[in-house]
Amino acid sequence: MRIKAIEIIGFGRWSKQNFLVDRQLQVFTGPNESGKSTIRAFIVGVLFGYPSKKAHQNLYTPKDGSQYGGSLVIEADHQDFRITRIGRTKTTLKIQNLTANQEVVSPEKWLSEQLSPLTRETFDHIFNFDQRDLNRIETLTELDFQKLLLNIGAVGSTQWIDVGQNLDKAADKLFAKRSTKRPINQEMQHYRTTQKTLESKSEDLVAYTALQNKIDDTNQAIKKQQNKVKLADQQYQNQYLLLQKYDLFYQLQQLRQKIARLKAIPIISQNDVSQAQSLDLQINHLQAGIDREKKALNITKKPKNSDLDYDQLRLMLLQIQTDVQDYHQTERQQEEILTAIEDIERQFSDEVPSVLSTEQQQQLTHGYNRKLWWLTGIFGVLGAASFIFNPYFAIILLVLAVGSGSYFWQTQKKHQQQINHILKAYAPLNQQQILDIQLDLKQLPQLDEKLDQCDNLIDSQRFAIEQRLNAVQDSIETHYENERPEILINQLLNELQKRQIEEQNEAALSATHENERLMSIQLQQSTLQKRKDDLSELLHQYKLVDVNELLVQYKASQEQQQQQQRLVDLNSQITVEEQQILSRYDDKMALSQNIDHLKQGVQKERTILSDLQRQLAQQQANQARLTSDDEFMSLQQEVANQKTAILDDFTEYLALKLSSNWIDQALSKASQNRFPKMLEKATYFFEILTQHKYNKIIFDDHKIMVMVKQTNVAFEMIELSTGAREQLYVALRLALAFVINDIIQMPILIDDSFVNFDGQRKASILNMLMHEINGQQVLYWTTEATMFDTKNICNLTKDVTYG
Amino acid sequence: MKFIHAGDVHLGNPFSGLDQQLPYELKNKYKMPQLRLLQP
Amino acid sequence: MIDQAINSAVDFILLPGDLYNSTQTSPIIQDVVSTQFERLNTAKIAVYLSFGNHDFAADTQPHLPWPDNVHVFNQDVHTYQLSTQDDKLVAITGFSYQTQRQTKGLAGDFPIRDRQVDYHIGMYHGTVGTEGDAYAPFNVSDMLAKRYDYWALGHIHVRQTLNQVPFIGYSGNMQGLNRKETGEKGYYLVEENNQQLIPHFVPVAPILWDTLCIDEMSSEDELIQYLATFPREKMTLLSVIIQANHLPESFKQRLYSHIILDKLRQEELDRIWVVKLIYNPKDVLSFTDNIDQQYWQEAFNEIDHHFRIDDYLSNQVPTDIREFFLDGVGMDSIKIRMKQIIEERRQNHED
Repeated sequence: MRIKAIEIIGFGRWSKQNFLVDRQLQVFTGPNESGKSTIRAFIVGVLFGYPSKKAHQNLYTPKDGSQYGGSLVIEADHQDFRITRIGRTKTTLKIQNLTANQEVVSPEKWLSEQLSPLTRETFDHIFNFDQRDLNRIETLTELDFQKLLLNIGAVGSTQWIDVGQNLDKAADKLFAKRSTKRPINQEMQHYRTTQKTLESKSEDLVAYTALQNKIDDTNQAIKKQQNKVKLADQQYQNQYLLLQKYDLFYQLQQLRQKIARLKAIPIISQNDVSQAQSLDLQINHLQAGIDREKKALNITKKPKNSDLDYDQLRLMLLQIQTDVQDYHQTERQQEEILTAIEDIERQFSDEVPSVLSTEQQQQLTHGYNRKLWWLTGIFGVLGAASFIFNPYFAIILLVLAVGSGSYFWQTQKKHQQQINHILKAYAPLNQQQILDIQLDLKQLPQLDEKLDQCDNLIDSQRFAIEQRLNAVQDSIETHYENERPEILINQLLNELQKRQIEEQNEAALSATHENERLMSIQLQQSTLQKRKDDLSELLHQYKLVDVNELLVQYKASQEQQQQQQRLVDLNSQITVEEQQILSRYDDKMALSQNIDHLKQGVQKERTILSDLQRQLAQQQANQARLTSDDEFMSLQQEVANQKTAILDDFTEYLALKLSSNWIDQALSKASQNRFPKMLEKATYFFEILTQHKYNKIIFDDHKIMVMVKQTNVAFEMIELSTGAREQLYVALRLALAFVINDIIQMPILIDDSFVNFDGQRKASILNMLMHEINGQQVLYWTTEATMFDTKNICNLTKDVTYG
Repeated sequence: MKFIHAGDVHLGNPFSGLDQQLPYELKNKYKMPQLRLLQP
Repeated sequence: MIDQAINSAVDFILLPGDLYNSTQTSPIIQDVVSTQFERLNTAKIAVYLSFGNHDFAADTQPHLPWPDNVHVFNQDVHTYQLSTQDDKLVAITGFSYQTQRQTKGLAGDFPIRDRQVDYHIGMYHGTVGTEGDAYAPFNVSDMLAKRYDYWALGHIHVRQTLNQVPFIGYSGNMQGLNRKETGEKGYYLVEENNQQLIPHFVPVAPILWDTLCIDEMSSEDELIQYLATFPREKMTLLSVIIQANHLPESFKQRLYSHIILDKLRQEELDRIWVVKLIYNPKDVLSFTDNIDQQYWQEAFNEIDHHFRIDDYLSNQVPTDIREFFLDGVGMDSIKIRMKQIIEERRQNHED
């Protein structure tokens, strides 16, 4: 962009003022306070916007109340434009394309595109050599230069530098190498402290191990002490047992003495004793037996007879048998009678009727009364016959007939009734049968009587039989069940037979027995003698006379043996050692005292043991406390958590730091390609400005150094004089503007007062500007322009009108 | 024959990467996860 | 693990280093170790114990006496022999660390396989590397040359196999300790099969660490849903990484200020604790500004390449903290954050 004209309507001291601007170099001269800076501000204002209300900021309000603003005529893209910006607070922007005679649509957009990538700040930094910079020269740092430099590659990226700085600052707020207050530093202190606490916990481990050893020792001591207790207790127990035995011991002693006093009794073996006794017994027994048998023999033995006359009895039985036959005969008779009676009775359906009287019989046979019948008949006939003759007679005859007839009828009825009555009684027989049966009926009572007789006879016969049979049975003393007589008789006969035979056998047997008995008596006697001999032999062995003596001696020897045995028993219950020990004591009391003494001893040992156990419990409790104390674990986790926090914070810290570096690096890269060119140009300008004093500018690790041509000695920027620093600054700025040419061309606005140079230098700068920078437009405000050999000088006091 | 190969038991090793916000219940429930491996 | 060892009646247990977490222990741990080793002693199960980089001084510190079934390796390579219940003769060779870093590899000091035994087993706590590297560097070929039947390795917490037959591998630790140690953790139960020793993994960890990556997300509730439906059987410490792009600015703000993390934790989801919530969108730095994208990228790479932790954290800062930034995980967090910072600033710019 090139400025062609400045048209101010109202701005600061200027009002309705136009200036023409040379394409290449336009100089504005005038003393101080002549509105030089105003024009510059105007240019910047039109391009980037008028100043806003801020502290210490000149608003350039038009003095005479003219409309605020104005226009710039510029050349861009080979075309002329008029950029008109009116009004400070409510600004309107109009851009007219003068060449094409068109208004530019979206002027703001167009303008910012044209100016891109410049902002007001970057424009000021690069193209506007402002008076403000003058004040800052003293404090110019490398950083400022850096910023400038970085502007080359990435114009408008100086914000990134600020960002980078902020990030760096933010990082430093978190952590600094030697700080104690910063958060991360504090965290680290905390962390170290916790770690130390953790380390100190390891002393717990020493205590733990030591305590464990102590516990082991205590356990050992307890074991030993337990043995001691056991031993003491055993001793006590032993003595106590001895005490129990003391009584026995006493008995032992007494017994010993007793035995010592007695004489020995020869021992009789139990065998001999029992044998003697048994022999004695046998002898007695045998003797008694013999006596008894002898006695028995003397009593005449009658074979056991039954006093029974068998023959007689047999005869009786046979008689009874005959009786039985008679009896049966009677029975048969009875049967017959019974049958006959039954025959008669059977004929009737009901009870047997009584015998008919003769009359009745006649009735039956005759049937009806013939006489009467004939009578009636006669009367009747006569009557009828006589009717002819004599009716009265006839009537009387008839009446008689009737009368006899009725009488006949009545008697006939009665007769019939009687017949019916008879028929009923004799049912089911008919009349003839009835008549026939009258004979039987007459006999019936006789039959009954006979039957009774038979019954009686049967009874008596039976009774007699029974009696006689019973008698027989009584005599033989057996009774059979009520059987039929015949059977009974047979049984009895058999029995008699049997008995008779038995008796005979017995008799034979008893004879034999007697013989035997005699023999046995003999035998027994011989045995008896043998036994007697044996016994006397036995007794002789012991020089004794009889069994009693033997027994007495035996008992005595037994007693003696028992005593011996007791002695042995007692000895076995009390060992030799024990006896020795016990014998040392005068009496029970002494032993008892010793026992008490031992008891106390046991107590003492027990007490020691329980003390040790208590000690163990205490140690174990302490140990348990150590092992249950998990503070160690919690501390470990605490340390880990703190470490996590520190790592997170350091991550943030490093991210900030590295981001800052990153920005630097990126910017540096971005500016990399332009940098050498710029450096070269700056060096060149610097050499000229310093009149060849310095010939090199060196950038080293964010430091700027300059080299003296003659001596090749390098000086840091800080070491330069203010003047040299200014020159360096100018050289760099100009180089910057120069190099940036390929991105954007803007006019350089230089305020003379900024440049603290003498006339000569000023000229050289301008020469540089004009000759070195192709096409670069320069607007130069100065107080005097004598050194300029140009026509483009606008005298602000003369050539203009003031508002 | 059989045997166990168990490397890097790291008894009692705390967890890394947990911040202080770990809730109390979780802290206590899993207080000693390493030891849990060895507790009967 | 000890319960199962007793129930299965194993013959012995190999602990190739880092039984203890550090050279400092506490009474509780001592007590537990003592009690458990006694249990094994009663069950007649031997223990072969070597010390690694974390617990290398454990044996010299005060500790309870080891019961008879515990065989400790000291700092020289040594071989123990034992006879198993089924009359197999086994040789076990191992060593303990002298120093924390142990830059000397000891594979070469192991004897050649003993011909007399049925099985020869090596215990080695270390990592593959060259002499001078830390943690007893070794080569798999060195181990194979010894012709052992099994190498029980320790030090790497991730279960991995370096050689299949004979088995040379890490059982990994039995409980994940941080975000990196995800998945099931446990030990190897090793049995013989045709004269080979075959390990079989047995998971025992009560708590699992896991990671959930979310590529697409439309709302915070959806995020909660993802968590609620995350499959888990055990208590899980979960790292959630949101990789979704184009998330609204408000959401990002809530992310950076930890509001979302708090919200997730307040949900009190069963068996899940969200350890960390990371926002790492797939699209890399995608803003435009006056500085060319290319320069940002190049600059980033250079920063990354030249980064030395010592430039920023002096050795006043404890080593274990500085070490964190030496590896990928530490740097990744920083890099993610850097991108976020720059993006935030750029947003501010545009605003």
